[in-house]
Amino acid sequence: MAKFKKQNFFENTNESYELLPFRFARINGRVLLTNLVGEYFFTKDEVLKSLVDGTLPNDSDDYLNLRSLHFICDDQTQSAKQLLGIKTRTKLSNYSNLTSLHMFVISLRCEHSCPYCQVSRQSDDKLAFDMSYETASKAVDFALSGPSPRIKIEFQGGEPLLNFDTLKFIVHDAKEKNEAIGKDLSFVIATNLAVITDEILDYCKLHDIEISTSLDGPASLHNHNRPRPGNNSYELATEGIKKVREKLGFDKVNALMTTTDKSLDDPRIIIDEYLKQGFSGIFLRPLSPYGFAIKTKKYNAYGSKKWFEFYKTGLEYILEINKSGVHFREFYSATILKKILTLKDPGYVDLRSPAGIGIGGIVYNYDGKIFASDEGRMLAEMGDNTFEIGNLATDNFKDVFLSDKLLDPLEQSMTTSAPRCSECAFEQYCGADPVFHYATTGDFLGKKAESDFCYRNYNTFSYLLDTYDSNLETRSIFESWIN
Amino acid sequence: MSSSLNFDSQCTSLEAIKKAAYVFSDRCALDISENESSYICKIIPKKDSTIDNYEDFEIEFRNEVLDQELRIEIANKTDGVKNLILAFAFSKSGLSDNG
Amino acid sequence: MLQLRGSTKDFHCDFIGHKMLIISDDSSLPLPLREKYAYILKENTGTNLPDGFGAYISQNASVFSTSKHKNWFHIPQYMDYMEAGDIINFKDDGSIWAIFRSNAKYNTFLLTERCNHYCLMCSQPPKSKEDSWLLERAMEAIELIPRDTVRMGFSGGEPTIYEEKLIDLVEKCRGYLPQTAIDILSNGRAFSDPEYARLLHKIDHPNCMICIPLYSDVPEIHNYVVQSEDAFDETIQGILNLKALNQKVEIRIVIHKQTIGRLVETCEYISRNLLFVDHVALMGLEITGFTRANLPDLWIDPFDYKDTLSQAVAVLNRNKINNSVYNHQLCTVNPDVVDNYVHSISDWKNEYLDECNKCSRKHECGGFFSSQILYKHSDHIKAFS
Repeated sequence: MAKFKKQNFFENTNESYELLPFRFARINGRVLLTNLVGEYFFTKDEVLKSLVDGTLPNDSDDYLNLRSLHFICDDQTQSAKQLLGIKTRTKLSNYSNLTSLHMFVISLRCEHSCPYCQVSRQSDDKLAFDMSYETASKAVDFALSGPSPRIKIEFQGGEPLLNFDTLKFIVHDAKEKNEAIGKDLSFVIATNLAVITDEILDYCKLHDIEISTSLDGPASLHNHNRPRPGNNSYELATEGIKKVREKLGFDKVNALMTTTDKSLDDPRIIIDEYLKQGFSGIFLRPLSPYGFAIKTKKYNAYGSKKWFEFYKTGLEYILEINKSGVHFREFYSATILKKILTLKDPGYVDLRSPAGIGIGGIVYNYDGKIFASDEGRMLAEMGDNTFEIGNLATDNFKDVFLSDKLLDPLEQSMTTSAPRCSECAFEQYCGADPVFHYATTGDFLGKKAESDFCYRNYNTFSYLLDTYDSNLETRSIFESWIN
Repeated sequence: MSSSLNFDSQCTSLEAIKKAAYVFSDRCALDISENESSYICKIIPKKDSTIDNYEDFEIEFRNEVLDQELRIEIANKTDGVKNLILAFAFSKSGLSDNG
Repeated sequence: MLQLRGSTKDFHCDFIGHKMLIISDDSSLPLPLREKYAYILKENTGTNLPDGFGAYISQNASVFSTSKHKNWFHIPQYMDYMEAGDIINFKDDGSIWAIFRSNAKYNTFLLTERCNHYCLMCSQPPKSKEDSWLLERAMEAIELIPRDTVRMGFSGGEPTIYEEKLIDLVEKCRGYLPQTAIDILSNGRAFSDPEYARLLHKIDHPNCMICIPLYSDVPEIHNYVVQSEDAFDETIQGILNLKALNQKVEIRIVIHKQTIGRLVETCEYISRNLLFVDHVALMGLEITGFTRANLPDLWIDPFDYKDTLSQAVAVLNRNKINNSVYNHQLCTVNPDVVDNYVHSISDWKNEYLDECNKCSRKHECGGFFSSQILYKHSDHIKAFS
């Protein structure tokens, strides 16, 4: 007769367990625990204290869950350490392919005069402000010489379509040179669509080029933010979107908003505009300090607190839209949730540690200078070239990527060793922003207790995780956004 | 309403107090000194921020010190295994490309 | 349910031990090939038996009364499913074993009944008797199995009990059947020794998958179900070692009362830690072997856990882990698992209740194990209109 041992024979007879590395934060009366790779667990204060004291009862649900989530291990689960090692390695391996986003600033000329823009020039002087074929060719060589199997070339400016000739040259040159190399090449143009023509559209269709445009909200807001002769930026943008959809395909154009002080008044009218224009979602972009702090000196007036209210109102409004049956994403939240809930890198260069400057995205300026990021380029326009990491005329890939000019800010801003960051429960989800901190404090690391970047991220992570964890309906909406 | 907080130096670590002070550095600075039995923390509020209620502030600050003590305890108990895990993560053994 | 092993008292043979042959009904099979085949005489063919075959078989006993042939077997009625292409093992004591059926969607070779686990729901209760002849038969059969066989499996007991000999079997499959995918059912613990995993890796079989049960994220539950202390960590280690060497691994979870409680957590555990596994199989309970002895501790009506099953599948789908639901009836699962629902993989199924005859989706449904029809099935079987 078969003899089976009862369940209690297999009980955990261990008196003790081993703590695995974790951090905690207090959110809304609960305690959030996050482990070495960002797996999370909400619990009560008493459980946290008992956990650390070594007195958590080994038959409690908390024990079972904390053990499965790799906050503790015992002699039944020594595999936990190896698994954590593998997960850590998986997360880090996301960075091994290096730069995939290459921004080509092919002209500084622009017919708009947006107050927050530092770079554009109202000028017809092509020689002074356009990227030459020679520089373009060197930039293509540089971009293709890196290890990333996927290269996205983004045309920027000013208004890149004002230098359509160089754009065509780059597309042709890149495709030709890539034949021998075999990378996955894609192209996108960041344009205000005011100067788009049928000829340009035909070209984009032929070469499978996507469009990224600016839409700040309804006409009144958009035109207020983005003045141009005739004050018709909104009309041209929305007409342009229609044209791109007709010629290239509905999903070939996406829109980004620039968040200005006026935008912060009411996110709902901006969201309504995006709905009206048929977009499947919106990116509630954080404020960028460069245009404001430096040029208009108004940054502190609508800093991170006001933005966070804007973001929460906007997100809540979008959740209501989803609950009514319309699938509409908030891309910023979706990006963060993807980081929180999976080991995958969502490819958002602004939220990475080590920072995404250079190693996530890189900028080739019209004059051949190489910048670690778009913001770094803007700083240079204001006289500070800290983030100018090379020059196409003289430097190759290795020169740039091994230079101290790039490595110093990367190293000094890493969150794993930064004060506050190194103990922060959200460190695994967060990033480093050496350009922001340098621009606002003069050092790459900044002081997180006073940092708007920290305030914004800390509050966003708390809010998103708390909401995700405590509301089933919202959770399933969020999950539909991250697939 | 006191603008100075005392901590029993037998029961509280200086490291925890300093870390807590860093958390509040957007609102105030702390001047920390020591006598035989205590750490004395003089609160110096920042010019453009106010501490309206010192009682609330004291509760907040003391709780933060406790949390920092907890963090130090966790770090002491887990730094060893953390190094082990990281060593494995950076070693050549185990999983290769799981792309 | 098909009976693969049988015996007859009505036979004659001139060999000692056993003889493994492929069934043929082709009387014009070239002479040099015939000794590997057993000629099957169906009811209405003539009684002139072609010469030179390894053996002759028929359901009609009278055929052999005047036969000059030395090896003939009268096939019992319950083995009338036999047909050309099947591989049969004949023994000198009259026993007949259909070791491979050409018409089956999937053939499984039992390699041993010995096992170092004692699962509560084991459908092949372990025996300690030395039975390596099962491995030997399998090795022989590999030489006869048609090369266009798509997929087949090896199970037990615990096949890794054979250590290097199991690796030899994989190597032989690679040699003789390079286009055939093979599954090896194993508790995976032997692979916690990286050297053993390396031996398998060296064979470089193009499509070999080790199917390893993991019943819970909680070691105590897993260990209880498999009735072995320390099973969990070794199983995880085995999976890791195999994946480190790029071997294919499937995780199997049998759903019953002991595993349903943390089924979702287990799938989450797999999604976080074993994301790289090739497939997860969520399986319904078969009411054979030990299951019947432990039924009160195991039985839960699938209809009652269908929402949990949906959640578990959703977790795996969300993390893009290939997964399938086996051995459930369509009316006991939610529509949201239909994309992952699989008919069935063996001939032990495809039996139905009376209620099923009115069902509009009968052809999409896997039906029941005969053991389920006989002993225990869901109380909520209801035809789709």
